Amino acid sequence: MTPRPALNRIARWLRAVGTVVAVLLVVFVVSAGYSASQLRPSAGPLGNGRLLGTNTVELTTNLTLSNPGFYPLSGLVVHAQIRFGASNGMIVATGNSPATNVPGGGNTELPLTVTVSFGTGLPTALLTHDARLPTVVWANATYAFVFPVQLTFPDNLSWGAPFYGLSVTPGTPTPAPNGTAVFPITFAFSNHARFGLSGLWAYSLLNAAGTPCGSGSVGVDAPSGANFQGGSTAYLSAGCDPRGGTVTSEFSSASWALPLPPEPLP
Amino acid sequence: MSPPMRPGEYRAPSVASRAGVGSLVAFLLTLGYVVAPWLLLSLLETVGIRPPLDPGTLLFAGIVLTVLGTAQYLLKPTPAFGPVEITYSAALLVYLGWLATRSPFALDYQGAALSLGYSGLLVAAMVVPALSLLSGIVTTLEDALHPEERLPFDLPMPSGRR
Repeated sequence: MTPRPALNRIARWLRAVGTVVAVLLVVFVVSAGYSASQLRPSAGPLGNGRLLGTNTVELTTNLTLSNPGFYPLSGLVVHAQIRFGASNGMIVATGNSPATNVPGGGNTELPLTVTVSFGTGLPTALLTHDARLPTVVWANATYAFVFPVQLTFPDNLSWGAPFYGLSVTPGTPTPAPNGTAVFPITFAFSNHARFGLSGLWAYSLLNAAGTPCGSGSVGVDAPSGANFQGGSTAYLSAGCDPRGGTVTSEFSSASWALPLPPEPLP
Repeated sequence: MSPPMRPGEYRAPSVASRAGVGSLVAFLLTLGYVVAPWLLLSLLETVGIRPPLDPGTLLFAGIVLTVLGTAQYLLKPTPAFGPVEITYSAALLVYLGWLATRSPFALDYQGAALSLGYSGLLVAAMVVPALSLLSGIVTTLEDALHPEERLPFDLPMPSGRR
């Protein structure tokens, strides 16, 4: 028998290797497509939050991802961006999850942390009014080692105001022997937010001309979902009547100093 | 291995048999390079997804690859086989490279957006035509140095024809 020529053997070997690679690639693509179709993500609602320093609150939700397929999901990171008003409105909060890898046949629970900063620029309406905030959530990952994926979808976040329905109810001033007047005042709100409030509500009373008449403070302890009502007594300067004016106030705690919207005094 | 042949003894398969099998090859390549991409694009368009691939370019490329692939088979007994295999492999490399430049594949569906990159897969797939191109170079060299040496091994004669 005549042996196959060397050059012919080389050419034949190259074609055979190419065929094997092509078959393996087809098997890989088909199996990757099937595995990807088995991915099952789910997200829970934003849970209870916690107050951080510098007027910031952190809200957390857990994302669950089931990956029963053959291939891993690498470098999975989820982001969220919450806006006020319209989908192109002011950004009021951002959120991120830590990067994680989900092996084939595995499950993962991924915490998504959203940070809301009540610093300057945040619409004050969010402090006293509930809202549905347009939200964009997007996830980046690499599937099966070679497929970078980004999935973006819109959502709406139900925002509960921490000082919902804020109201200031004045009492009747009572003259005091030293020329001042004792002025009772009641402060009330409902905490619709997912975090509790514990601190001090400090206020200043201004008359209709904007002249400060008096000030005071009341302790605040309002868990999430609770109503709060607190009373305080201010001593008014002689001849200064705040009725018809405004109350300016600030909520403060160990790490917060949050100006609240001014409220009119009837 | 193959039994030793005297010079001039080898006879290539008949034109009729090569044409018959060549038609089957052309049909299968048309399915893979022309029909399958067209069906996929049509299916995606029915659900409102417009992939970033020009249908006209896909069709032209599919026809070129089908013609080259069929010619490669038909010219296998001839010295043109190697150069045609090189041309076909190069065309396939260019085709895969063009598809890779269209990555990522982005689509919007019911308010959600998906971006899927596939250039890594296509770069890996380019190994296949690259190996075929090398094979074409080796075959061209073999045909230049030793004409018809490979024919009894690449296209064995049926025993009754000897």
